[in-house]
Amino acid sequence: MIETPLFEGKRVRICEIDPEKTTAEEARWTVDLDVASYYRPNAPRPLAAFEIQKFYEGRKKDIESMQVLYFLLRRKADDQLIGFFRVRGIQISHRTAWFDLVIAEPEGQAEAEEEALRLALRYLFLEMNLDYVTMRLSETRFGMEERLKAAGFSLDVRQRGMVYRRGRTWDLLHYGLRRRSWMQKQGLEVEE
Amino acid sequence: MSSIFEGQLVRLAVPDFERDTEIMVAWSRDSEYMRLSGSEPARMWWPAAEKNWLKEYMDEAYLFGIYRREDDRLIGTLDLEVDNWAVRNAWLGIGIGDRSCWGQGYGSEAMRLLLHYGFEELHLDRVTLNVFEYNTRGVHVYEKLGFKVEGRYPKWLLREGKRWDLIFMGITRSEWEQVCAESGSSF
Repeated sequence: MIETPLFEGKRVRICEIDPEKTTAEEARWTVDLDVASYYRPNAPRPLAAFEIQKFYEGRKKDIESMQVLYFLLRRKADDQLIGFFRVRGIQISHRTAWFDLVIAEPEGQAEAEEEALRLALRYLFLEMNLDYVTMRLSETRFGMEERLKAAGFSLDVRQRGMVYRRGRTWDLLHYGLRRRSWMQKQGLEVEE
Repeated sequence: MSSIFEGQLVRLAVPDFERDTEIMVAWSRDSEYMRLSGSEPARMWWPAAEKNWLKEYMDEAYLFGIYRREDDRLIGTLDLEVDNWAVRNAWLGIGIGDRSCWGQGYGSEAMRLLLHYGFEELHLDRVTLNVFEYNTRGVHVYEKLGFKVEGRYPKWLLREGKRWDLIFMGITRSEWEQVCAESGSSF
C-alpha cells in the first residue's frame, strides 16, 4: 500500500478545478497583475468571472487529454481557495515539464507557497515521474525565487527584458530541478 | 521594385499551399530534419494535415516560406510568433527542409531578412529562439547573427539514449543595431 497522501499537506491541499464554482474567486485575484498574467499573459488586466470560465473552456481539450494538468490550492483550516498549481509543457518522451505555482491570497502566503511547492514537487517527481522540471517566473516574484533556491532549484535561464511591469522591463527567470537532486535532498533512494 | 523580403540567395513569401505542400510533407520523412525541428517524437505528415496546420498557425504567427532565388524552389520555412506585445518579444523558428541546401548560407540570409522585418517593421524589442545542443550548425549561425545564449535546460532532451541540453538564445534591438552597424548594412 502507498499511504502517503499526494494532495494533502499540513496547511494546504491540492484540489480539483471547478470552473462552475470557483471563477468569481479566481477573478478577484486578477487585480494583482502578476496573477492576471497567468490567465492572460499578453497585456494582463483584471478579469471578470466569465473570462476565467472562458479561459478554462479554451483549454478544455488539453485538460481532458492531460496535455496540461490544472489544480487549485486550498487552505485546510477554512477551505479557502488560495491559489493554483498547473503543469504545462509536458514532454512525456523526455520526462520534462514546467509548472506554475501561485498563492494569490496574501495571508500566510510565504508558508503556503513553501508547503504547496513541496506538494507540487512530490507530484511532479513521484507521481508523474518526471526527470527535470522548471518554473518560469518574473524576477518581480522575489519570495518565490527564494523558496525555489531553498528547495534546491538552480537558475538555468535568464531571458533579458521578457516581462514589463511597473514602468520597466524585468528578466524572466527559469529555475530548474532534476529528479536526482530532489530525491537526494529528500533522503530518498535514487534509482539508476 | 525592391522588397525587404528579398536577399541575394533567397526570398521570403507566404507559402504557396497548393504548389508546395507535397514538398513540406517530403521533409517530414527525413528524421534528421524532424529531430532538428522539434522535441516531439519525429513523425510524418500528410498533405491535408500539413496544409491545415500551416493555415491555423498563420493565425498566430508571421509564417514565411524560404524560396531559393535561382530556381524559386521552396527550401524551408521560418516564422515569428509574437508572445507579448508589452515587451515586444517574438519567438523565431526556422527549418531548412531541403538538406541539399544545408550549410550554403540560405538559412542565415533568410534569418537576416526576417530579423530586419521584425525589428524595423514590427518594432520588436527582442527575438528569442530555442535550439538543441546537438544542432551545432544552428548554434553557430545564430551566434554569428548576434544571438546571445541566455541559458540552457541541462539534459532536457532524451534522444538515442542520450540527454541533450535545450539552449535558449535571444537578441535585443540594441544588439541587432550593433550587428548592423558593424556589418555596415541595415541587415
